[in-house]
Amino acid sequence: MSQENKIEIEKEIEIEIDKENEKTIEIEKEGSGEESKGEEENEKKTEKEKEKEKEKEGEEKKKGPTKEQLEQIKKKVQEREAANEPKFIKGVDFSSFDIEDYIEGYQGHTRMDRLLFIAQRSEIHQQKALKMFIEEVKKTRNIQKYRKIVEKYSDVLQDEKTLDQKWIDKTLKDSASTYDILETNLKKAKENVNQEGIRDGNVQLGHFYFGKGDLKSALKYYSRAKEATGDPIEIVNCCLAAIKTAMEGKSYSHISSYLNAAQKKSEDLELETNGILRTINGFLSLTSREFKTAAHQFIHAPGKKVFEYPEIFTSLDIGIYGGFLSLATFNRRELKRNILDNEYFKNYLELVPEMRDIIYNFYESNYAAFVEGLEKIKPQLLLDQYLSSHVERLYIRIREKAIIQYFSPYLTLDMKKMATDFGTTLELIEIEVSNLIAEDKLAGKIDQKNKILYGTRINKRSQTFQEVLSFGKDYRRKTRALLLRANLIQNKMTVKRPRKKLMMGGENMNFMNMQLLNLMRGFN
Amino acid sequence: MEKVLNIILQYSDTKEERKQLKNYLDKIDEQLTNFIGQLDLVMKQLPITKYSLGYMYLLAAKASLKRFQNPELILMQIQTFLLQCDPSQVSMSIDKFFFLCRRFVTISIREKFSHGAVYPLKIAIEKIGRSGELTPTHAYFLQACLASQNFSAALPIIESDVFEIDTKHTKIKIKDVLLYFYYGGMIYTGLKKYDEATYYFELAVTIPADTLSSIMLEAYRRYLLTSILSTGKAPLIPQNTSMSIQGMLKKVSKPYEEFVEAFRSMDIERVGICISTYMEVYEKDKTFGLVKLVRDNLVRRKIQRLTKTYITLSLEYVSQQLNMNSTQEAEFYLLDMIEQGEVFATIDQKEGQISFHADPEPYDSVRVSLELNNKIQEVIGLAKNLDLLDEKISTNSNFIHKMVIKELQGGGNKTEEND
Repeated sequence: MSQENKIEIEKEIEIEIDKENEKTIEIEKEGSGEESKGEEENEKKTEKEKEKEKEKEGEEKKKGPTKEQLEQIKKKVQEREAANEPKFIKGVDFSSFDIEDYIEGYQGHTRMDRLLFIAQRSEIHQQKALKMFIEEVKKTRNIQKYRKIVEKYSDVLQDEKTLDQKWIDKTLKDSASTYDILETNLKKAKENVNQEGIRDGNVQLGHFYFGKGDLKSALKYYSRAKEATGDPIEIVNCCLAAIKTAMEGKSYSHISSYLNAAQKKSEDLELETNGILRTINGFLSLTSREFKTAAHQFIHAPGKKVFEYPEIFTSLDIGIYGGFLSLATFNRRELKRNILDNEYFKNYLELVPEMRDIIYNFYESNYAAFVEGLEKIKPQLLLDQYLSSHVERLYIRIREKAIIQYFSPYLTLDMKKMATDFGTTLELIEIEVSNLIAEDKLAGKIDQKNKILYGTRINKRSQTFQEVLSFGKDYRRKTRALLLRANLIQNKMTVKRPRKKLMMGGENMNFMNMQLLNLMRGFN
Repeated sequence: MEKVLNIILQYSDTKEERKQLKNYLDKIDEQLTNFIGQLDLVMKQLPITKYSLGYMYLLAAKASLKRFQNPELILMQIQTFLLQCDPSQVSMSIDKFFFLCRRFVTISIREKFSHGAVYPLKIAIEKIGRSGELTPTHAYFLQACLASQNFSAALPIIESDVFEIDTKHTKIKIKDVLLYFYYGGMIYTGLKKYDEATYYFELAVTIPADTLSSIMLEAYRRYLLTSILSTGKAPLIPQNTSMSIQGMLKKVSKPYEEFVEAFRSMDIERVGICISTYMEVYEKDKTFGLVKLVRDNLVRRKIQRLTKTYITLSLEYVSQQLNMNSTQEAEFYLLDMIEQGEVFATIDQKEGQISFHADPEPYDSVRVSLELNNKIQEVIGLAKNLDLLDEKISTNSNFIHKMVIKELQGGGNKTEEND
């Protein structure tokens, strides 16, 4: 890839991250109602934001949002929303991607979320994805979401353009009556001090709000349910429900805390849910870009049991995430040990034969097939909600690793052959290689005239001498500086504020003091 | 004045007498300025070496004037005095001596005589103070060297690593310390020894401080520039800078921070834009020369990067990459760098190709082992100093007192060394 492309991609990645933040705020607005939005938005924003905004908001948080500030924040958010509309991914051919195939394995709300993501990223799939999305959203009680999406994409939707008022009315009535029933149940259980009943009541209310799209209330009830019981299995279930909710709301701190709670409880027990918990762990690592840790976590997530939790991830996901992340972060030895020789993970990798082939090709140095397979699987990865924002970055890494591995057995290498093997031109491969060398990832030098890449064997001896000499010099300097400072402090000498009466003689000092005073005034 | 002359003549022989003389002179010091006209006469009658103490007071009184009818005369007088004075006498009233040196430098710079001040001041340094100890005269000396552009004269002094400070002995002030390192850095810059220059500027910046001094500010700015010149990397603020002033330093040096940022991006155009934007500031601060050098350096850095990745390269490629106007320009830079030893290469003019070689230094000569030996000795010496310092602190009664209190208050887990 050329330099310009790389920069553009970096920008796109930034935009992706911003989009996710925007989503967070959207959902928060839908869900909550009375609570002060200012505080919440601050919380959500600071999770993934750039530093500048953190500072601003940090200040705002300290003072406590006044009405004007809330207005300002709302405006800011709206402006950003307008500027960061989820954009279609350009330059990739998504025609090989089959939505129905993809979405089949998932259940529940995640279907909805994933479909919406696909609709926003892939132009050719937008219409179909939106239609399917509307089907899914109607299975829940989330009227706001339905409304919002229909309005937003009214020009794309054809039949569904008009709001299905009947459904809305029915759902409202339904919600009201269900709510009454659940409330009553919970009250009764509380009166009778029926722990199980209390827990169940809270869980049901949690599910209710989850279905409505009121994620905050859902979390509240799940948390209460968790408190109301001592049974570890039930606790874990409550945590999982909370995690599901937090994932939809992209509240990573909640995910993390509920995950910790659940894992603590299920530490020694061989529960069915351990697999999904470990997978969530991997997911958290993924979002904080700790790719290697995430790779390990995904690979070892299912363990010996069968993995079953389609409301968040399917077993295909395990195969894809685990395989893809290890490809990007493992060296050959690790790759062999963790993937190729790993009995349990192999099963999952088999579910995604394309990924399996890519990894095998990489390992066996079939670079042409490797590169081809990598390109083929890209659309699918880009349309995965959680993986998408990392794809470009990881692709660059994988490619770099391939180049480095490609070159490793050679002392001299013809760059033309390298270019054909990697499916790119001579100029582009030269740029890639020179970047790698400049970043110290590849030990070699380019003979530009003959287009040959020479491997350098570093002269260790000379290097050692250089390092020693420079270290010695460094030490001498630092120590001297230290002794000087110690001396000064011992003699109680520091640069102090000038006293009003200019006591020291000489013209220079007067002038100096004036300058100092001016500087002081400049700051205060 | 007659009375003064007689007293000086009488009381200059033994140490006891000199002490009394000093007290007397201190008392009448202010009145001496009333007798300006007669001072010359009196001084003529006193052989300098024997009566250094008395002579010094008289001379200092004369030197405290703002203007002189005959500046050459006073300069001559001070010069001779510095060369001939008796250190033991003069060290009895050391602030007078420094005052004299300061006036000497100021006047000689004003009269464009700084080159004449260099040698006398050097002698002055040797007469006062133990070796390795910093005195105000050091700063004045460097100032004179700078003013007269006589950098090499300063070398032996600054290379001897003067780092000890003893206020009781030398009555040195923080300003002198700051000036010493600032001037030292400037001198190294003048000698194109950017590595050492950066070190000295860094020392100036890391001096303990509650408030910002303009000397420190200038030192910081030059620190940024020389740091780039020596390492090619954009520098961070020195680690040990006093916390309170770190923020202030950065705020006030915005044109330089931006310049450093532009350099970091390795973008020649951006650097150029930055320079033209802040040209006035650089000129006012007299750092424009350095700034231009840095811009030059950027080109060299880029070429060096190329040496890392390529074995052979075409001149055209180089000139293209670096946005140069022609291959001649590339060739010119390369030639210069090869001569300076920044790059190891040969140019094939016919083909327009450059071939790079590895650093031919084999590190196996006698010279290298001697150098290593020397450095090891130095380091051992330094480590000993550190140990001494450590011991001094741990046996200091104040420190032990504090430690005991801390431990009594609970949670004390420090080891105490009682000697």
